[in-house]
Amino acid sequence: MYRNNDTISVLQFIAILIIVIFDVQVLEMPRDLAEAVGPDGWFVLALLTVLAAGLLWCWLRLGSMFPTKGIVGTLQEILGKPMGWGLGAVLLILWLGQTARVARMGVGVVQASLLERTPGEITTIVFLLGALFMARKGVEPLGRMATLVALAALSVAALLPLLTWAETQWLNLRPILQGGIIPELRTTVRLAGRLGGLLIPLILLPMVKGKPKEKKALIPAIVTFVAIPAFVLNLFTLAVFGPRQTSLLLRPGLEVVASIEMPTIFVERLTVFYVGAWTLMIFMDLSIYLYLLSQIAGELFQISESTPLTSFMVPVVYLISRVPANDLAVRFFSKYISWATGAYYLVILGVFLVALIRGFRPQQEGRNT
Amino acid sequence: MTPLFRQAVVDYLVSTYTLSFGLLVSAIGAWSWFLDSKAASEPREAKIYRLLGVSFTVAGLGGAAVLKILM
Repeated sequence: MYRNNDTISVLQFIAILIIVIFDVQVLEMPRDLAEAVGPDGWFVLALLTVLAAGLLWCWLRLGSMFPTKGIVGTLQEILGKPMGWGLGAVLLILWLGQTARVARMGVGVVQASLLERTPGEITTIVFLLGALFMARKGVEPLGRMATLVALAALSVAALLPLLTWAETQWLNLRPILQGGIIPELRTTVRLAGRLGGLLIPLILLPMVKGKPKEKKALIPAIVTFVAIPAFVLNLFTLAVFGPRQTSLLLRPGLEVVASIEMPTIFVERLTVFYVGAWTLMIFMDLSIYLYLLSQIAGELFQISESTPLTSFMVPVVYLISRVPANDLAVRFFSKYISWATGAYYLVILGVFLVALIRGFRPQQEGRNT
Repeated sequence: MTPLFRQAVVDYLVSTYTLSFGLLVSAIGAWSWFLDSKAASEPREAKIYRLLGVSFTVAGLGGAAVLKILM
């Protein structure tokens, strides 16, 4: 009944990746950019886009070397069984943390804008149970839902900040590269860990049904659809508030939409639409992470019908998500998770090099191609 | 584990692992015990889900009750 023989189309795979990479953390990114490099945030974003495309290319190549295997199987083929299992277990722990981070930050966004008086615990549980219901349906319904959410919610999230056009002061983004390029490069590497879902191809690639030609469109499509909203959000936030004020705000990406004042539109609070779109994306993000966690756990413990394992992830994710006591602690928590993710990417990059040295080459035909 | 860290863990669990959360964990366990294990086609996997289900069912409300009694 729960056998994982579902397949998804390339479009659904792209939508899943877009949803996970365009994380709720993007709402806090303008502040991190402003703190680290001031007006050069746009340059770091450009570098981050190139880095993300490069990493995605590596993971897709690595995944297509063993098209019928998931991430644990791939790592075991390259590094041997114990090492592969160990790295898979580390990823499971890391993504439990990532899922908890998404849950906690998502609840923070909802609490700050819509449900001020509802206890965070209740909102977290509701989010997680909704996501659990979705994740247990399997990857194909997840893919279909992700396509809808990516189209609808991402458009709202990308377009609404454009309404601040009248308040933007583009001089806030100057001077350019005043302190040299080194701080920008350092910040780019530091922020690479924020791109939490980049490893998804290693897990979902065996389930993707599509022609090789379609798969070639993966990287341009994902990078374009993530980079454009991310650029809009970050640049407009920095241009409206300026680097100094942005670095003082908790969620500048949310504040920038809250600052929109347009007497001509007959909507009382535009933030409601914006947060609604973000809530949908957070819910989808959690569903995908729960599903992926069950896949990794299933691979680790050789359970072919691994979808029911999502249920057991919920209490663990909830308990981890409640560890940070306040918003400041959540910030540190997400920083540590980002660093750990960045370090893990470095390890997997090393594995990719080992695979190339050992002579493994990508195979054209996958299980479902 | 230092006494301070131990105390922090216990305080955290007392505040987070409430009876309602324990009930939720038990419900998840019971679902797996009675439904997922029956739906699994492989006997080994059915056994795993039954074991996980039983342990979550017991640990859910049991853990919350123990914490409530101790604190």
